[in-house]
Parts: sequence; structure tokens; C-alpha cells
Amino acid sequence: MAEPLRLTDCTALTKVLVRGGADGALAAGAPYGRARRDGSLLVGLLPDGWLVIAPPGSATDVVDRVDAGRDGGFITVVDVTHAYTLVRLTGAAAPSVLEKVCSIDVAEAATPDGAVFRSLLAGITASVVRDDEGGTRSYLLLCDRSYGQYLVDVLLDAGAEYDIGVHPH
Amino acid sequence: MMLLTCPHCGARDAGEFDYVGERRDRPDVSRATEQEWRGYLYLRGNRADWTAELWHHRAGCERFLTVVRHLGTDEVRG
Ligand SMILES: [Zn+2]
Repeated sequence: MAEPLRLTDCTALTKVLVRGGADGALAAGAPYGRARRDGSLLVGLLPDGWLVIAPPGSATDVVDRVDAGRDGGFITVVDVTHAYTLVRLTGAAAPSVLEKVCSIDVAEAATPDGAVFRSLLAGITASVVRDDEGGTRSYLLLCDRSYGQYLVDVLLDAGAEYDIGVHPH
Repeated sequence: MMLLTCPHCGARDAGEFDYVGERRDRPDVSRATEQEWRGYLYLRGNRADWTAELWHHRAGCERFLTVVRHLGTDEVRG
């Protein structure tokens, strides 16, 4: 049986935004549009911006680690944990739900595991990271916190036909 | 639906972008006449022809890009 569809609130995960230093180690690790796991999840969110997603409460550690790893250039490192809503949409039907709310091609060829895109999701600006879990399609969805409830409501509505379930983190 | 091709993100729905305006070269402030400066600030060509425009990919990479668009037909080049 196909993996059931579920929505999980991941907002408590630490989120650290890094801007600048496009030629540095971060760009090599995760260029724009790609994400990479090395304990935490490094997301190439913008051509000169990265998001580090790490376990709850680890912002200080992440900031120290990014600062220690920079190669001399000026960068901005900000804990944005409380500025964004982060949810995870997992299940075989997850791409079908995304297709209902955005105009980006989420087929395997265009958006494979580890792909990142920023676009409009049901009219709001959001970032999408494909981050499969044990071979099951899974997406992390990030948006401004003030739109969080709206995004969840839209996903529950779009996922109703696939029997979407809500899981606490 | 109108598609614009962003150099960073590829073809995207035009709704993700903000229109900024026609591309114009900023005159040298120290040498520009008042007429040239006024033209730079306020005058637009707005011809029903191919026009280079500045757009901002707001709901994408947040970069500015040049779009060459025919203002008569909405065709986009390149
Ligand atoms: Zn773009």
C-alpha cells in the first residue's frame, strides 16, 4: 500500500539564515536550488542565501559552526527560527497536493530528492525542499510565520481527497 | 498565463515577478542637463515594440532581471 499522506509541524526546528559569501563553502555545499544533509540540512534558498535546518534549540551551535567555517568574506548569520513556519508533507500523494497549489513541475525529472525551489504556493511566497524519508516522497515547506496557518489550511483542503492526516512533531 | 525566464530559476509564471520599468541608462549626474535628468526620471518610451524591461523575481530568487518584451503582443524574447 502507498505511504499515507501526512502533514507534520516542524516549526520548532532551528532555522538559521546565512546571507552573502556566494563564492564560499556554503555555495559549494548547496548551490541555489539544492539541499544537502550533513547532520543538519543545508538549503540553497537564494543565489546568495542559505538556510540551515537543525534540531530544536541548536541555533547557537549552528551560528558558531557557520561562523567558524566561513572563508574570510562578510556574511550575515541570523537565527530566524521564530520568523518562519515549517511543515513537512509526506506520502505518495504529496506531489499531487503540491501540484494543486503551485505551478512548479514536481515530477521526478524536474524536482528530484534534494531539489529546492522558491515560488508561489496558493498565492503566498514559500520555499519547498524535497527531502524524502526512507524512499517516501517528502517535502519541507517554509513560509513567513504570519502565513503559516493559511498554508496549513490550504494543504489540508488540497489533501482532503487523499485522506491527509495531521501529525504533531 | 505569461511565462518569464529567470536566469537563476528558469521559466516561471509572471505572477511571481514585479514589473519595475523600462531599462534606462542613468545619466552622469555631474554632466546631465536638466532635460536629460527629467527624461531619465519621468519620460517613458512606451512604444508598441520590443522593449527591454527590468523585472524583479520577488517570489523566487529575489534578483532583478532584464526581460525583452513586445508591448504590443506580450511576446517575450530569449
Ligand atoms: Zn529567479
